[in-house]
Amino acid sequence: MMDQSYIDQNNVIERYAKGTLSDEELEQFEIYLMDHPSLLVDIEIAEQLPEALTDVLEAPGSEPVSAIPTAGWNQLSLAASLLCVVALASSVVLYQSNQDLREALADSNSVRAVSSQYFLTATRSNTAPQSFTVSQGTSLLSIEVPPEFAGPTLTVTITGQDSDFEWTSDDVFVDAAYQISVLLGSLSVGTYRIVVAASDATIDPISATFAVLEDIT
Amino acid sequence: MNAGLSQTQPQDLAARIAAGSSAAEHELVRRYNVTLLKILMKRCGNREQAEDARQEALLIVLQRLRKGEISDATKLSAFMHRTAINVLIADQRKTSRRGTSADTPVVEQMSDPKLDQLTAMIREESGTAVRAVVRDIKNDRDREILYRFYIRDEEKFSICSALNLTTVHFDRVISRARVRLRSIIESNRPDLKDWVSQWEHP
Repeated sequence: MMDQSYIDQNNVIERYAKGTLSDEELEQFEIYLMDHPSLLVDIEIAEQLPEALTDVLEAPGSEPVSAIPTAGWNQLSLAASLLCVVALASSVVLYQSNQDLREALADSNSVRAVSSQYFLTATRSNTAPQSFTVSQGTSLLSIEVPPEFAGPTLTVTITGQDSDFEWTSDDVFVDAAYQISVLLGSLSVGTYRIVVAASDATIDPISATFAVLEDIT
Repeated sequence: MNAGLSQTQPQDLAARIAAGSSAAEHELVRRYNVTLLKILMKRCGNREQAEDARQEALLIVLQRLRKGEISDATKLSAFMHRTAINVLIADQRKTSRRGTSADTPVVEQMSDPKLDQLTAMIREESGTAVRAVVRDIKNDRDREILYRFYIRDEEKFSICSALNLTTVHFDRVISRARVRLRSIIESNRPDLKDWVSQWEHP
C-alpha cells in the first residue's frame, strides 16, 4: 500500500522522476498521485534537479565532488586529524549540519546497529539515557544533536571503566543541528557512557550507555 | 505539504454527475486533469499523445458516471487511472491518431496550461535553489550522495555501500535536499503556493 511514509523511505519521488520504479510501485504511486496532486511539485523538482545540480557542482571553480575519497574515508581522515587530541583510542569530530533536526530525528526511536555505524538520536523532550550495544568491530557512532544543544560550547564525554575522554567544541553554531561522529577506534570490550552537553546549564544533556561486545551478530 | 484533495468525496462527485450536475463534471476534470497529463506524459514521452489519451479517458469516465455505471465510486481515482492507461496503451497500438469528438465545454477545460506553468516555475528557480542547497551542505559526504544519485545515476544501495552509509542516512539526505529545494522555491515564488492551493480550495 503506497503512503507518504513509504514514498519518503523508498525515495519513490526520485525514482519516479528517474523512471526506475517497479511496475507495481509505479501503478500504486500513480494512483496515490491522483489523490495527492501537490506531489507534482516534488516530481518536477526531482526531474529538474539533476540538470541544475550538474550546473552547480560541475561549474568552473566548484569543488570537485567526485574527488572525495570513499572507502575508509570517515575512519582514516577523521582519525588522522584528531588523533593528537585524543588520549583514548577514540576520536570525535563535530561538524555542523544545517538540517532541520525535526526531520533528522523523525525516526529517533528506531535506532539500529549496522555493521559499522550506530545512530543515536535524542530529542529535547526525551533525553533519558539510552542503552545500546555495539560489536567490537563497530567503528563509528553517529550522534545527532538538536539545535537546542547548540550553545556556545558543546562537550562530549565518553567514560569507560579504565579511562575517559572529553572533547569540547570551540566553535559556536547556533540554530543548527549537529551530527557528531565518534570514531571508536580500538575501544576495548566494556561498558561506556557518552554524554553530550551544552554550556547552557538549563539544557539537559543527551546521554547514553553503550557496551562494546565481542560480537553481537 | 503533500496535501491530498480536499474537495468533494469521489462518491459524492459521482452521484452529482449521475444527477446531471455540470459543475460536478467540471470539478471532475479539474481534479484529475493535470495529474493525468503528467502521468501519461511520463509513460509515453509524447505530449500530444498524452493529451489525446487524457481527453479520451476523461470522457469515457464522464460518460460512465453520467450513466451511473461505476459501481464503487470510492475508487474513482484508481478507475480513472486505469482507464487512462488503457486508453494510452490502445492509442500506442494504433498507427494513426485517434479522432476525438468534442463533447461538451468540459473538453475545453482540459487544455489548461497548469502543468506547463508548474514546469516553468520550477525551471526558473531551480538553479538558484540548488546553489543554495549545495552551499548549505557542509558535509562533503552528503554532497557526494547527491552527486552520485542525481548526476552519476548510481543506485541507492551501491552508494550506501561505497560511502559506508546506512539507508536511513541516505534517505534523509535525499529527502532533505528535495524538501529544502521546495521550501526555497516556494519562498521565491508565491505563485507556486497558489498553484498548489488550487487542489485544496476548489
